[in-house]
Amino acid sequence: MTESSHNDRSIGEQLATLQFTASLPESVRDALAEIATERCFAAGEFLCREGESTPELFLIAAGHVGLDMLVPGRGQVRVLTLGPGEVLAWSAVVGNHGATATGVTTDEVRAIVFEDHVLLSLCQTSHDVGYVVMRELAKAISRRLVATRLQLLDLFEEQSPS
Amino acid sequence: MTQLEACTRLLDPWLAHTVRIVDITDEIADVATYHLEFVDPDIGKSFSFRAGQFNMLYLPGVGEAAISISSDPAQRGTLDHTVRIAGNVTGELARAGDGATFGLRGPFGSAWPIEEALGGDVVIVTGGIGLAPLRPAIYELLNRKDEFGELSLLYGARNPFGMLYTSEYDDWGRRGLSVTTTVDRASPGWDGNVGVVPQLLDRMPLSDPANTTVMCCGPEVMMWYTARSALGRGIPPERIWISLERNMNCAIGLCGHCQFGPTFVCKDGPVLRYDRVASLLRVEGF
Amino acid sequence: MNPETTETECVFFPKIELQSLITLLVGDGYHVVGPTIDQAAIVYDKITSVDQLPRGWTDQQEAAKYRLERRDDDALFGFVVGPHSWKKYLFPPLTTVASAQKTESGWQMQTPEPDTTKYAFLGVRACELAAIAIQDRVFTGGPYVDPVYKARRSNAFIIAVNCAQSASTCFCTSMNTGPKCSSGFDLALTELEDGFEVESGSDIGAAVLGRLTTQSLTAEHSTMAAAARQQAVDQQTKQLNTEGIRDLLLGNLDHPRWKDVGDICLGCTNCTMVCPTCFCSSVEEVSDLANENVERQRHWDSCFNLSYSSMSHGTTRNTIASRYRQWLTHKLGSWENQFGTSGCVGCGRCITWCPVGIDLTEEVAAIRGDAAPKPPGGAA
Repeated sequence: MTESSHNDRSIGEQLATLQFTASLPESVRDALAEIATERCFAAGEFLCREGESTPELFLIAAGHVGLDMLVPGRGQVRVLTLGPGEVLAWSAVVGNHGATATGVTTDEVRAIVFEDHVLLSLCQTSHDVGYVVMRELAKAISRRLVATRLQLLDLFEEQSPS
Repeated sequence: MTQLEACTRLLDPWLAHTVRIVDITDEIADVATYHLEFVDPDIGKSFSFRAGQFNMLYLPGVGEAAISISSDPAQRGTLDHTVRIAGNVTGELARAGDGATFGLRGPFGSAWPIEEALGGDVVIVTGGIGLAPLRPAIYELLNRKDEFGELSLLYGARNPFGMLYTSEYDDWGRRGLSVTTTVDRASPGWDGNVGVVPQLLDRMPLSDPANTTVMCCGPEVMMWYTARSALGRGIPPERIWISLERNMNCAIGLCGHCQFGPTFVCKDGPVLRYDRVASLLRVEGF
Repeated sequence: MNPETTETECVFFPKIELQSLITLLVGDGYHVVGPTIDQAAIVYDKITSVDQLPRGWTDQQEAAKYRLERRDDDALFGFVVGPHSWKKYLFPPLTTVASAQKTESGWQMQTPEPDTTKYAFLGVRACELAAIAIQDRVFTGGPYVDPVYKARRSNAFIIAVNCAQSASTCFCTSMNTGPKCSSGFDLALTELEDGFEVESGSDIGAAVLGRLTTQSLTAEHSTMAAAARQQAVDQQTKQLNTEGIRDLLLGNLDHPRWKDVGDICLGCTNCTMVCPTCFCSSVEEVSDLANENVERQRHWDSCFNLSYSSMSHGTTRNTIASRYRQWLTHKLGSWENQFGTSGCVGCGRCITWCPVGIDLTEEVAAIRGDAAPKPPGGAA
């Protein structure tokens, strides 16, 4: 894990284009940029591990992260791949009882990283920031939920020729 | 027979042309591509179609099935149909070998909006066997690459074994189509994306959404959520196109079976502008 | 044939001359089809004699009820419409559309020779003229023309007969299709006690009329004919409010009434079989035992059949409620988008022949929210 020094765009500039933060007011993005760090990961690095506490929330700026769940007899089963603009390890924000999946990078990843207590403290101190951040998080969870439902429907199972 | 009578007979929409299986390519489980040629070479020469159109494949004594054409519209010679075994007709087709003959009526229906997409970016979003009716569009877009902006294919399948035409992706990529795949369920050894295909659209970079055309084919639910994602990304509703499937019996708008509200899917579709059918797509049993 | 009618002068011919007309048409090679009684109903069948017409009979109709009764006169056309319509001749219930023969070099495909049968229809009502005009649009007005319909239609000679009465199920005045025959015929008759007022509606009609012995129309005949036609208007009680009906129905796809009607509808398809405009069909394979000679036979189908919307991976309309909704929203709604006209002519057959007495005018009223709608089939 290395602190990135190769990116030529500031965190604030990146937050302005990433799906999770793009629609936030500029003042909120600035506040978030203040507390964020940017980190790069090689392929195969773990951002969080199932069952373990997750002290950081990751916003993927580039690259992909696989979410795996351990199934006895089958090993690590990949349930989802996340890409740019998506967040993971939200247990850090919504309740730190440990990650519910293992996040492993599948290629080189650049992430905007928020320490949980710092982010929560910002949200608590400024409810204006807290409201929009939590609302964005709710939207992200909602998108993830819809995608999971679509996976559940197993739409391609009985698909016929068209 | 007078010339006029002969002409009228040729125009009889019920007249099938005899085709012969030249070759069969096994694609994935229960899916094969049938490479067909017309027994009458003159018909072969005059037959042309647009990307997205379908033919009625007729197995005498068994019946007809509507199957999209999956070959290059610019290609003369064989006409390809990628078929999944799903019923009596496709089951019988699966038992036919090289050299077997049967009937074909077509081409029928509407086409992908290639001309409407000129000058802009194109995102093809499809799943499973839905790639088959889009392959002719991919060929045409690549043949005319200079006339479009960025070309992307977002392709989902149930699992890694459910992907069609995998051997062509590298070539498509070299010719300018960005190919991204995903599966609903990973299997051991799969190191690609896992998740549903609308998610790929949620996060793909779009440089000019207002001038981006989406061509989508797959299960209706998948198309509905793909359209939602596209709208969320700022793609105009009139630039989102989907291909619907209904019971097609006559293919010429006369038998009634394929109706979807005011739309005869066989002749007004199968390729339809999303905003023209959106209000009916989530009405149960309509 | 049967272009828009221009005002032509009416003439009179005595009743006996109707046989001359039939004989003349038979001599010209027409199969004359007219109303005749079979199995206690007035149906359409081939006739050669006026004696085969239902002289002195009338029909009593209401929802789920059809009865023949004696009239107190000898009227030949003193009834309304029965279970048949002319579509059974123009769009035959069973017809071969193509065939295939297996040869040593593979399958040979063929379609039938054009049908040269000439039909003369005797006794076509105004609502039925409208129905034929609608099916003309369906089968010949689009990019694909049905060869069977086109051949039979272009050869058909149409003798319309104006209604002099209405059944309780009739609502042609609501649909602007009748009761007076105004276009789409070669000849139009109005039956009087001693003969017919006759109007020709086409050159070929005028030519046929010219070969009959006719008399000039007296003012008295003219007055009686007008009174007879007005009687049909005056007797009509059923109404369908068609204002904005397409948007009404397509805008209420989730109305609870669909379930109510679906609960009592048997899905029997009677309404679609008797409807003079319903055009749905299916093609099936009929082959010999060796599967070397195959005919593709088209038969009438119905949107009330479960298999109608079935695909390899499922059926679109699984419930009777969804199938009734499909039928009514198509007939009175999306038909307008497709063919520029309503699919309903107000003949009332679907009401009469529904075994549970579902009345589409009541269904529309219920969805429209008109005061105190009757329960589905409540008229039965």
